[in-house]
Amino acid sequence: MLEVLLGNAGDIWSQILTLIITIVIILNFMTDLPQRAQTARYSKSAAQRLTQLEALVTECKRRTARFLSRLGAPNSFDMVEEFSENFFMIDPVSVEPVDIIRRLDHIIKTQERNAEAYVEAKLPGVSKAVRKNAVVTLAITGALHTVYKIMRHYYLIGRKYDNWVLLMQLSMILPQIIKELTPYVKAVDVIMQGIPIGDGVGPLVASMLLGFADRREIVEDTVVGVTEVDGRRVYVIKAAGPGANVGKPGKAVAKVAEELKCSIARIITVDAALKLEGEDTGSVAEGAGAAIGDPGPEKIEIERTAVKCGAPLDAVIVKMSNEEAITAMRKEIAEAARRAYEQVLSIIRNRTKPGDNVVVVGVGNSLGVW
Amino acid sequence: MNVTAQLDPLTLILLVIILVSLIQVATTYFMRRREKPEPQFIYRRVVECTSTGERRVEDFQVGDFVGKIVGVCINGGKLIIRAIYAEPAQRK
Repeated sequence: MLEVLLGNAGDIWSQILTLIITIVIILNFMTDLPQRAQTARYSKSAAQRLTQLEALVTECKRRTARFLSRLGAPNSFDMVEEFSENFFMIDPVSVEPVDIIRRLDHIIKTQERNAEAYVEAKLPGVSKAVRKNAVVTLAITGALHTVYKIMRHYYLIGRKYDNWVLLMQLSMILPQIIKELTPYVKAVDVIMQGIPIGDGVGPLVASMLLGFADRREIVEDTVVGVTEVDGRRVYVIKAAGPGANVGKPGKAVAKVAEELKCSIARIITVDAALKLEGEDTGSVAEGAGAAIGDPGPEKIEIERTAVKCGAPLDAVIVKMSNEEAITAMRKEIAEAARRAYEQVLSIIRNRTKPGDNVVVVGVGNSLGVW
Repeated sequence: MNVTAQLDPLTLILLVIILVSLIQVATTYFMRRREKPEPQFIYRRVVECTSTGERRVEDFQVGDFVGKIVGVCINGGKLIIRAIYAEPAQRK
């Protein structure tokens, strides 16, 4: 059959193929047609991904609005939209680093207070813990909204200037961004129900140490309690729970040090830490330094206090992925909290003497942890 | 009868290109990773009796938090929530 078809047509085929190959070479190497084709392909792919991202953000807004509506907020979806478009934060000037921590701290505090005041005005009857949960869900929604807007901006810029490299980058990075943002939508449900999240492992260890010991608010949204471990007085600091709240652990450490006139034998910080791919969730590790992931003001306060008082600074971390840190605490992490607690007790027993004052800071979000 | 002997080199090249393209498309399709189904979680609370240290795992209820006293147990002890966690739901 093939012989019949091609038997005497070899010359014609050769000419047609030569012509096709020549045209292809000219179009491929002497025009920008391949780039235009790529632009069209990546633009379509980026648009599809962007639509997925938009759906994700809309879903997050819908869940947050439902939560706020249940708390009695009128026009809850408008409230979500309004919060998403406002309450941004501008970083302080960094070319002049003098005083930058104080300035950053001031801006963070202003932003937090504004957000809380806004929610308080909209939800006047709710408890402080629930109000904190509402602020956090709104903050998550606002963050997702911002990411979507930035991605959309780059997509439209890519389309506007036919920048196929930008569209290609977007098309490649968007699937990863969608995967990374999906857990934040789940986090909204968890916060609504008041279930502890992975990042709450530090406060959970602090809560284990404190038991039923009395707690007092030492600085805004942060509590301290005193317990005794084999003759050592242990000052345990954590964010006030059970609302979603990270408190001000740095300022609390500074305040405790001031009250104790710097008579501190050791400062131990316990926090969740991001694991590297391949590491086990819930593995506990110990090192030196302040285990805290804030933008700077709280961490520097702990470091300064440790230096000022000459107190060694230990860090106990519980490893987990970003998704595990912001969604409901997994069983492995709850079990790891017990091991981290034993590790803290071991440090206190082996590296301090009876009669010493020790400060333990449970760093993280106190959602669902008293 | 040798068919290839009657095909000129350009036709052969075209057939090879078509064949390679088809293999590439098929490989890309079959190599594409299938999306894993989202794992479902159920929420549990660990309740401990302070006088005996006895622990039991129960279903989480909205309003629970670690440190909450949920009742009393023997010898005047208190039932306290020690942990709340998520575990994968068993597939039926």
